[in-house]
Amino acid sequence: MSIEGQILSAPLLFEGAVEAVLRALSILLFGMYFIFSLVVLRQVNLMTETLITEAGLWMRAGAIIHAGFALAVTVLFIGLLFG
Amino acid sequence: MLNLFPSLSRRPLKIKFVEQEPDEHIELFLRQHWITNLGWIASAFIALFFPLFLPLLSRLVGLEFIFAIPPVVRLAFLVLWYLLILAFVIERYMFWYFNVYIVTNKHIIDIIFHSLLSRSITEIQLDDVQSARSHLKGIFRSLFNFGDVIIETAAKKQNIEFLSVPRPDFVTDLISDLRGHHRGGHA
Repeated sequence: MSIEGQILSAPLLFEGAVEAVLRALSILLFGMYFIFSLVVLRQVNLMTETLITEAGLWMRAGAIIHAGFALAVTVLFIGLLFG
Repeated sequence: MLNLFPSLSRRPLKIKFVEQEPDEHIELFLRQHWITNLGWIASAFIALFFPLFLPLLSRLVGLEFIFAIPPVVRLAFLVLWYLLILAFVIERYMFWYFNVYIVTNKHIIDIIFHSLLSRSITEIQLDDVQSARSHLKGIFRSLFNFGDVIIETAAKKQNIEFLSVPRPDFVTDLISDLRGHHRGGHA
């Protein structure tokens, strides 16, 4: 490639690198959110065992659904971003 | 119907806690007044609309390169923003829901949910209660009738504070009555 070509393609290479970093960062953040949903699930289980209320069963169900949702969104965007 | 923000229950039948004794029943079940949640609810609601103003903000601040990012990556960060709001709402609601104050015929219990990873339970015997006083200050608190209840024990070994609970005067009266009945029963 001529010197002119190399100079002209440098910004494109930089943009490609930035895009790759953003894609990887977004997947990392989705993964962190999934971990957060597991922490929520654990804490809801712990607290509903400590404090037994009518809404406890609903909260556990909600926490499980939330964790499933977080996993589904993570998998979806892995597919969209790297598929 | 599921009550999302119950703050005060008198003799609730369907609530139990882990160290409850067989002959112990709950006289009063308290959380912080529901109005203490308005701050984070308003913040979350405003945050929902932030992405709508992002194009205008980015032009004002000179960040037009955002629009050079591929649409799927922008969609990913948009979804992440709303997941962040959801995480905030969940954490705040759980903090309010699981921070409870319980008055039974034998004990006073304070369950504190510090964060998603830590909680503590403080329990004092009704016999050890020296005094219970309420503290209600400010127009807002007076209007909605919520405040703090400070429960002091003998020799100050373990005080408990009920923060921003509804009807603090009623709570202090009830604790004083229960303490009197408990000591009278043991006399």
